[in-house]
Amino acid sequence: MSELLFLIGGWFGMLVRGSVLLQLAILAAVFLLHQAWKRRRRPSLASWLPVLAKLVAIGVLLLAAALVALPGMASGLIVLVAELLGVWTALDGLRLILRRFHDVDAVESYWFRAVRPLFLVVALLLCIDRFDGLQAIADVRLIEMFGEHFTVGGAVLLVSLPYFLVVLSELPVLFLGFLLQRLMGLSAGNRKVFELIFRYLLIGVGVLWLANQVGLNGTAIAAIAGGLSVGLGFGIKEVFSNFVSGLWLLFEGSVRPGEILMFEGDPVEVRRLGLRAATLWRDRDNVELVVPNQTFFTATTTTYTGTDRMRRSEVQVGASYRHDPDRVIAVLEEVARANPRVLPQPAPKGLLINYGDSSIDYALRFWIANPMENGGICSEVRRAIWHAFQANAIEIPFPQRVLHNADA
Amino acid sequence: MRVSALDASSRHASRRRFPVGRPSGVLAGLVALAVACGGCQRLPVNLQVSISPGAGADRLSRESLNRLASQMAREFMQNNPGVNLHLRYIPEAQVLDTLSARSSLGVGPDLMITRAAPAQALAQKGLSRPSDLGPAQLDPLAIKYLPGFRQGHRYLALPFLVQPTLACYDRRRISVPPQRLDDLVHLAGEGKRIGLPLLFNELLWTSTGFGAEDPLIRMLDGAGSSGAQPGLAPADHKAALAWLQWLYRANVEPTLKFLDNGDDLVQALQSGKLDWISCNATAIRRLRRDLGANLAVSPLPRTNDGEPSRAFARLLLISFGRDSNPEERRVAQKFALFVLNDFSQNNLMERAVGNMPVNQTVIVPVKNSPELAAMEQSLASSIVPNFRSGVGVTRSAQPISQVLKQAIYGDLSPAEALKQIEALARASQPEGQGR
Repeated sequence: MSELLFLIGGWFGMLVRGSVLLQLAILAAVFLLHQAWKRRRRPSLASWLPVLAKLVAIGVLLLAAALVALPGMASGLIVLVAELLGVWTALDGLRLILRRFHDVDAVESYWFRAVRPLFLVVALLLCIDRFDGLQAIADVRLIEMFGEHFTVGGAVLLVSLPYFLVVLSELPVLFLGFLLQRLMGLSAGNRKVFELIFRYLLIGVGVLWLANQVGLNGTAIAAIAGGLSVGLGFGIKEVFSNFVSGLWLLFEGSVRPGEILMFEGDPVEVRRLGLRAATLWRDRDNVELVVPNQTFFTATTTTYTGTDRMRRSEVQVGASYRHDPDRVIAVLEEVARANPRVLPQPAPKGLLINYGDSSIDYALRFWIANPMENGGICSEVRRAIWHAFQANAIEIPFPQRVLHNADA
Repeated sequence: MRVSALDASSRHASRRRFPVGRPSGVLAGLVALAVACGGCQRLPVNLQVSISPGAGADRLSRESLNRLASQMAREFMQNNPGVNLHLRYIPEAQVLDTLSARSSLGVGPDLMITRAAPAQALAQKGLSRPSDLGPAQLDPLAIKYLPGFRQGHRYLALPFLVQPTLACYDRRRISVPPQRLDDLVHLAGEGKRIGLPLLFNELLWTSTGFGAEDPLIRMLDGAGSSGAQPGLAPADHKAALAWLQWLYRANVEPTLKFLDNGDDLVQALQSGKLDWISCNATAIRRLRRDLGANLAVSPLPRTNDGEPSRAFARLLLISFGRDSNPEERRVAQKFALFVLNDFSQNNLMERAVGNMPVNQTVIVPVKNSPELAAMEQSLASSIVPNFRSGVGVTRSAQPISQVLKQAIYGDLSPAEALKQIEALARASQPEGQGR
């Protein structure tokens, strides 16, 4: 650590050089002006004004650099910042363009989670490299671990790489999934499986590379794995169980993103299958349920999308005893056939299911294409039955109780 | 559960209003801190020293010099409290680009230790400044080779250490080292395994006896500094051709091998694959570790006329950076004088075999050390590059080495090879000679 402080102390000596101070003062002045403008105008995230303002700032910086260089003074720091600002402005412009063609939330999310942090890290590393050489600081030893020296470079990698592995792996994986889908005609579900597995692979390889880079040799990794196995046995077995369950479910294909399941009496759509848990979306109240993967692994899972996506629905209704059951069934089947969201094949089927206390009970069974739309379609069919019964003078009776007075 | 665009915008907006972490604030704070502390008297002086002893094949000398420089820095800091020395190792191939980039920011090093060719390039590009040290400080040190770096009344660089080229051999295989060039080929004929480098500047000593060395050096240094095209006179042309033919014939001997560079030769001698090699003196330490008492060193074989062969010695130079403030410059000059004084030069010579002092007041104990004796003897006939002569050979070494390789293996006739060398010499002339 003292070596690192000694090295950083050396930078201070360079910072107080007159030419560097002048450049820093110019940069500070330009940034303060830019910030003051931003505070006054408060441009929105979708506005092109900040891009224009940055272009003006770049112009001012380059002009200042040229003026500083006139008497032969160093101006590279100003030019470097102007270059970085140029790249940043180009990225910002790209973000604004992408907002027009893609989902705004997705663009902003990727911008704030991936592009901005990555740019900041790259810019910082570039500045250090130009200033004093990246290798010089990366090689500074912090502590000794498993007989290997843990360096500043290793520490930076350890902190930043996992984050960027997780965040940045999204985009290439999506692209690969799209490519595979186009080339191999994969279903949406299979595409998501491929994407997820490829992403795990990418992250896994990245983590192994990271372990190697930070100086963990094979023996050290074996020692950690040994310790981890004890940990798995006691403390984090649930986490590991969920992880293995998630992988198994992916390969098995019973719970994949896009599948429709019956969960706690409601149809739900699988949104994500993560390392620990699956995220399910329930239509009726628009909630996302985070369910540990091992739930699906150990309990019976009802799926509507195992071999096809059709669901057989059923509506029950009672009709008075005085109506001919054949006529009632014909009306019911006609009602189902008339609904555009009911599949014509397999054909709707009316059934007499019981002679009840006050009515003959019928069931109308029909097939629908989207299991998640069951509630809405059933409602439509029930409403249509009411109108059809009205039109055909079919009574929907309700229980009646006739009281006889013995004295009378 | 989705976050609407409005929610996201307002979240980001609230983030913008949060004042901590603004780059302008950080920058302003930094400037204020730097300005405030710039006037502090108790701040240590941080001296940046870049070291580029050589690239690729010069790993041996790099390790040696790194160790030495670290020792010197520690000693200097002990004697000068309040001074921090920061050493940075930059590969020779990157030294110009790296220092140019740093200097453009205003953060170039205060001192640069390089070989002669990069030092000249640094001076030509204005990345180094002539030394302010005058005769009062330099004359007592009696620095060798100094006039070659003079520009007007000042010096563009100061010689620091010199590393001569020798013959290293395994005394179990060769009891008496070859005295003349013909003896070398004769030894190879007897089955002794001889190794020579394929690097032009490291092989040039074999041309001394043919009379080709000086004309080639002159040509590569830019015989046309007066405006004429560099080239060889007919007699010199003939001498150079004779040398190239000798190289080709030498390669016919199955036990005389040409390896790519000095590092490969050292490894081959270490592993017992070769019996005799030409080597830089900085390799002795490493060879001694593996061969022990079986390692012997001697000056390189003389020419067939008995004249000493003139090999290129490596000269390390100290150049002063252009971005230093007056205090840094003062301390940098103090450090330069420190490493050039008798004590430091003597220490450098004793601590790392292979480095010879440039301070002429240092007595080289030749009687106690056969290695030092060989080095001293070799140095007496060495060509030590300076800004006036010899730098062109190092500068053009890589492309000419490729031509030599083709000539030695018969892919090019000696005449064709010489034509290409002359073309390369013309192409490699810098626009201005830093004189």
